This record gives sequence, structure tokens and C-alpha cells, in this order.
Amino acid sequence: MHSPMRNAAMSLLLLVLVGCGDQRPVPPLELAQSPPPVVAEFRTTVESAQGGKTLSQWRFWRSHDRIERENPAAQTGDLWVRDDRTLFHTRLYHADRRGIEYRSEDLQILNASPDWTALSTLLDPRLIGALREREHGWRDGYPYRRYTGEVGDVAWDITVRTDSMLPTRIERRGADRQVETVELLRSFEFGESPWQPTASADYAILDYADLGDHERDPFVMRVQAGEGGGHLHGHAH
Amino acid sequence: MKSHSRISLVVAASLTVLGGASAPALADNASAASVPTSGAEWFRAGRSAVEANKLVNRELNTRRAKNVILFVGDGMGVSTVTAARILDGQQRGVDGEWNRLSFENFSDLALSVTASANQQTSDSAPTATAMVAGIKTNDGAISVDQSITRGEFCAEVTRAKKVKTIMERAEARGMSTGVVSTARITHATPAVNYAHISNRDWEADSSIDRDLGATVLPSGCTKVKDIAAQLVDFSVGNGLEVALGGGRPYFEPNTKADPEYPTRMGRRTDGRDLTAEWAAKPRAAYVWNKAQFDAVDPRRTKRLLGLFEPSHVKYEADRANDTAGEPSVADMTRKAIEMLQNNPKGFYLMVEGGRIDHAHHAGNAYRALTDTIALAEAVKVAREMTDDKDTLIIVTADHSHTMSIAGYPSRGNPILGKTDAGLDLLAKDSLGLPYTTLGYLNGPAGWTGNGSRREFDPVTEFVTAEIPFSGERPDLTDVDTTNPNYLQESAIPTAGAETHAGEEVAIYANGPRSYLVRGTLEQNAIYHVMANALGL
Ligand SMILES: [Zn+2]
Repeated sequence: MHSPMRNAAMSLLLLVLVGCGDQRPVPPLELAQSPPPVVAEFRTTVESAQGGKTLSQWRFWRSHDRIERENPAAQTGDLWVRDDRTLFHTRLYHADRRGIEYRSEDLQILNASPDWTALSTLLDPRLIGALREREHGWRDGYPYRRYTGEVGDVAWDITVRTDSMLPTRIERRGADRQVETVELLRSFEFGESPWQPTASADYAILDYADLGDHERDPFVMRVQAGEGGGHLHGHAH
Repeated sequence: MKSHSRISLVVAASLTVLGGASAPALADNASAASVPTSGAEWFRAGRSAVEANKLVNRELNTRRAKNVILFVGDGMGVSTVTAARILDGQQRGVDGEWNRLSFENFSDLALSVTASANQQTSDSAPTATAMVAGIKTNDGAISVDQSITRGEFCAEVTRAKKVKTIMERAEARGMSTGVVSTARITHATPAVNYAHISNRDWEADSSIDRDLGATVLPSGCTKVKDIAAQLVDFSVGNGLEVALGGGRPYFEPNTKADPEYPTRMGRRTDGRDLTAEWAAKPRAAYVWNKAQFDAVDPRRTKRLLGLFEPSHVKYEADRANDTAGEPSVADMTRKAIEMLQNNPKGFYLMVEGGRIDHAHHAGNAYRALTDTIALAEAVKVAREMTDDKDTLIIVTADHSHTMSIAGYPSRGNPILGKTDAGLDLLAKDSLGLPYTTLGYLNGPAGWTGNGSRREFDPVTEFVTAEIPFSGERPDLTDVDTTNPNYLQESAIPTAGAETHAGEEVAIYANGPRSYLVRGTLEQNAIYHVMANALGL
């Protein structure tokens, strides 16, 4: 009875709030908090000083203990699973229906020391801590905060949606004048995206430690040579 | 009292008479701490080593062996042993170059030629087959001869090509047998003991099915059984008594969650739960963590299967961080010998340090060396628990790796450090850059300035472009190369892994018939030494 009326009132209130967004407090960026499940699509652009430009588009699924990303054009993906203190990372090669799995200690050896917060938010807390907050507010109905600054030879400009804890834009400008940009194209609540990660449950998964003993495996030979499905630790673009 | 202790006492006494330093030939490494400091002392130490060798009891060595223990350091080439010996000494605060690992004091030594029937530089399947079955065979072959095609699905063809292993001969005679590994227990080196299959990768039935695809087997052919199933179904004699290592999902159905990491499922599609089948055998136990392992009473338990990780057991350097806890290779060796010693007819045991190889493949000398030291500790335990009079112990490697010890570092320079040039100066290459003493001919770290490592950076992963080849070596001046996670540089960059190397590896032997280990032997002679010692 009165619920439609209440909804209308809420809508009106929301309209007013969106209309004068900076009146509302912007939630702080709390990277230590567990981020909400989300599905998103990003675009990475790399522009070199010479004017060359490369593009890639990739998708991202985040739930509590599982992060998956996929580059549909390259047919590659990464799966991160957190199991108590142990982290498993699988690099997926969809065209081959194969994967290479890394355990925490393999990643340590590769000097990767993955940080779940950084993996799940695409933001390195140490980096954010080293930058200065330049502005905050509301855009398209979402709260955001923007951080800028220089770390070493690199100039950073990062805008983060504080509700979904996802960057809407990361710009990295190197000393070589190469500009790398990651932009959020769209995001969905988990389970409401139009796409699902490619099913990989029945792939042949090779332990990273076994790579060296598969010298005649055509897939491994391509990986060793840095061909096919991109580099072993290839990029999203 | 163990006979080797007696020999050591005799040697020690004779050395006192000679007035020399302790002799590396037979003294254990704990007593080898004093390095000669003058020409006269070096001379006496050299002579003492020869005097000690004269005291080796040849009579003792011509007896038959009751027990044989074969230790295999996977990828433990001679440079690995040298570097591990130095690291072990330096970690214990003694002279690393003078230090000896436990097995380096064995009485006999030979070189092992590791080329396989079709490989100049081999993988672990034919090399392990050579050691336990006495023949050379092709890449990927698990105790089947070279006439088989890699990927032969037919069980009947496989049966016709199989070669009897030392474990099967020992079981047939009523001895007890076991296999211990820090790799998956279905991995090539342990598998050659109990399995016969044309492809080392067929560790679970799902792997065979994936390769088989839509292929229809010819009439009269049944599908070969996977390696894990061959372990649990192994029935020569009364079946093997002890199997300890990693590889749980290869034994469990794909409907069952892993007990330690519940997000992971088994890899079997035939519905068999091999761990449950093992546990159902009379007086058998299946364990998957350290607490369960420690609780196993070796006098009451007749059969023990221990699977401590979904894949390989952790590196020794990382073992303390394991979720459910894991025994060390020395712990597993001790438990295995305690169980196998229950049989008065004797035992055969293989112990593999399986991850020396993996760390080298990753280009990480630290973990390769610390796993070598852990294997040496297991050898020490085995020697303490057995008698030189009746137990032949062989320590060897299946193949080498490309790690080398280069430059002219001073004696005592940290083996994981940068090569010094004396007077607190670092040696420099032609670019004016310092370099590490340990390095690889090929491998993932390359001379690309460790570019590949940045790609994992959680932020830059999504941002960086291709990291271009700089064509220059990295400047290591401010890099701590002794960090356990440091990757040594390699001359030839590979995207994935460093490779095996083709030179000889050493065979160290002690106990009955150990004198048969001499000269430059083809690797398959190791089987024949063990068979001769056991009278098989
Ligand atoms: Zn290997």
C-alpha cells in the first residue's frame, strides 16, 4: 500500500542526491576490507612515445576466494584461488584447453609475492599509500576518489570507485613517455553479467614445476619459446 | 654398534697417530671442520685421506646385501653437490669448501653416463628406468623398453614391452619394498619402481582419457592402467609396503574435495578412491598430514601410503609454511626404514629428492641446494639406522642441470653471493657489472634484466606493455643475490624453464658390493650393482 509511495519518495531523494552529488559523503577507500563480488570489463591501452598504440579488452570476475580474468581475443586467462593460507594461480590457454598452475612458493620464486587485495581490487595498497588524493565526489551516481603522484620515474593518475572497489581509470606515464591506461568499461553485480568465464574445469593442468620435464610437449615447447597464447606470464592486452 | 662407526673410530685413531687433520674420505662432515692452514698440514691431510682409504674393509664389501637403499637426487649434478656442500658448511659456520655432505664420505664412487636410448640429454623417465630395471630406454618411458611408442594405449602391448624392476624382483623374493619422494609419488622417478607405461604423464586415468580422445582401441586391446592405479594395484609378492610423497588428486575421484585444500578436486574419472582402497587393505594406513604421519606406529602398520600435497611435496625451504604440515624427506626415510626393517628377509627402498630438479628448472639455486642438503640429511638418517655389513646404500642423480660455479671467488665467499675479486672488491664483467658465482646456461631469468618477473606485479600486470629486451645484463650491485627467491641469471633466456644437462653425474656407494661402483658406468649398471648385491 504505502510501499510504492515510499519507493517514489526514495527515487525522488536519489534524484536530488545525484543532482547535487558532492553534498553526500564519499565513502573512504578501505582496501583492507573484503571487496564485494563483481564482474567487470576493462580496456588496456598502451601508447608509446613514437605514437604506436596497442589495445586489449579483458573481463574480470571477483568473488570471495576466486578471481578470474580473461582476454577473449587472445584466448588466455588467469585464475586465482585462495585456499586458507595457500594461493593457487592458473594461467589458462583456452585454445589449447591447457593450463599452468603456480603455487604460492612458485610465485615467490618468480618474485611475484601476490597480494590478494591487489589482485582483487587491481590496486596496490602500497602504491595508493604513496600517492596523494586529489579529489573525490560522485560521478554517474557512484562515489569515487582520485589519486595522483609520482613514484620513481612513473607518474600515476588513478580513479577508484569506492563502492565496488574497482579502478575506473589507471594512467601510468613512464619516463620513456609511454602512457599505459586501464579503463573500466562496464561492471555488473556478480551473476548478472552477460558473459561467464570459459569453463576450464576439465583442462589439462600442468604444475609449473613440471614445465621443465615436458620438453617434447608441443604446447610446452610453444610456451618455452614465448609463442602461442602469449607469453607464459603474458599480459592482458 | 654400527660397523661404520667402528671404522670411523679406527680412522680417527690412525689419524691421531699420523697427526693429520680429519680425512674427508671416511670421516663424517661434522668432524671435517678444521681446514689445513699450512703446506705441511695440507700434505698431511692428503696423505691421511689415502691412509683412511687403505682401511676400507674390502672383506666386508664382498658380502651379499640384505637391504638396498637407492637415493636419487633428481637433477643433482656434480656442480649441485659442490655448491650444496659449500652452502651447508657456510650455513653451519664451518669452511664450506672443506665440508662434505653425508654421502660424500661413502667408500666408492663412479661416474654415470645418463644418455638414454634416444636422448643425448635425458628426462627422468628413461634415466630412472635405467637405474631400477637395468636397461636404457626412450624419453617418457616408465619401465618399458625402447621398442614401445610413447603414447601406446594398449595394455597388452605395454605388458609385452615391460621390464622387470628391482622392486618386483625383491617382492617376488619375499622382501619388503618402499618408495619415498618429495615429488608426486606418481612422478617418473618413483613410478618406474612399480609401474609400466609408455607415457610418464599418465599419472591418473583422466590424463589417459584426455589423450585417447575419440581414438578407438584395436580389438584385443584394453586401455592401459594409469600410474596411480598401478601403485595401489601392485601385487608382485605381497605388494609394496611404503609409498610416501605427494600427488593426492591422482588417487581420488573428481567428485571428492581435497582434505587440505577443499577448493581442489580429485583427478580420477573412473570413480575409484585409491586412498580408501589402500586403507582397506589389512593393517594398512593412509595419511595426508604430518600429525597423522607421526602417529603411525611402524611396528603395527604393515602398509603405509602418505600423500602430503595435491602435487609435489613442498620445497624444504617452504615446508614450515604448509597448511597441514609435512614430514621432511629425512622424516619419511626414517619411517619407511622403521617399517621395512620388520621383514627379516630384508628390504629395497628408493628415496627421491625430487624437487632439486624443479628448483633448477625455475632458475632458483637456493631451493635446489637446500633440497640437496635435505636429501643428504636423509642419507645420514638411513646410514645411522642400518649396518654397513648388510645394507648397500647408493646415492646418485638421474641427470644434471645447467648450473655452473664460475669466476674466481675467494675461498669462503658466499656461494649464493657475487663473485669477489679479493680486497672486498667485486669481480666485474666486460660491461663493468658484478656477477654471481652460480649461474645457469639457460633459464627463465635470462639476461633480460629479469623482465619477465615484473609481469606478475599486481598493478603493472594490467598496465605494462611488452618489456623490451634491454640486451644488457642487470646491475646486481645493490641486489641481494643470497635472498632465497633470487633467480640466478642465465645466458640463454627461455620463457618457461631451465633445462637438464648432459654430462655425467656421480654415483656414491657404501656397503656390500659397493666396490662394483667404479669407473665410468652406463647408468643402467646401477640396477646390476643392486641386483648383484642382493643376489637377485
Ligand atoms: Zn627435470
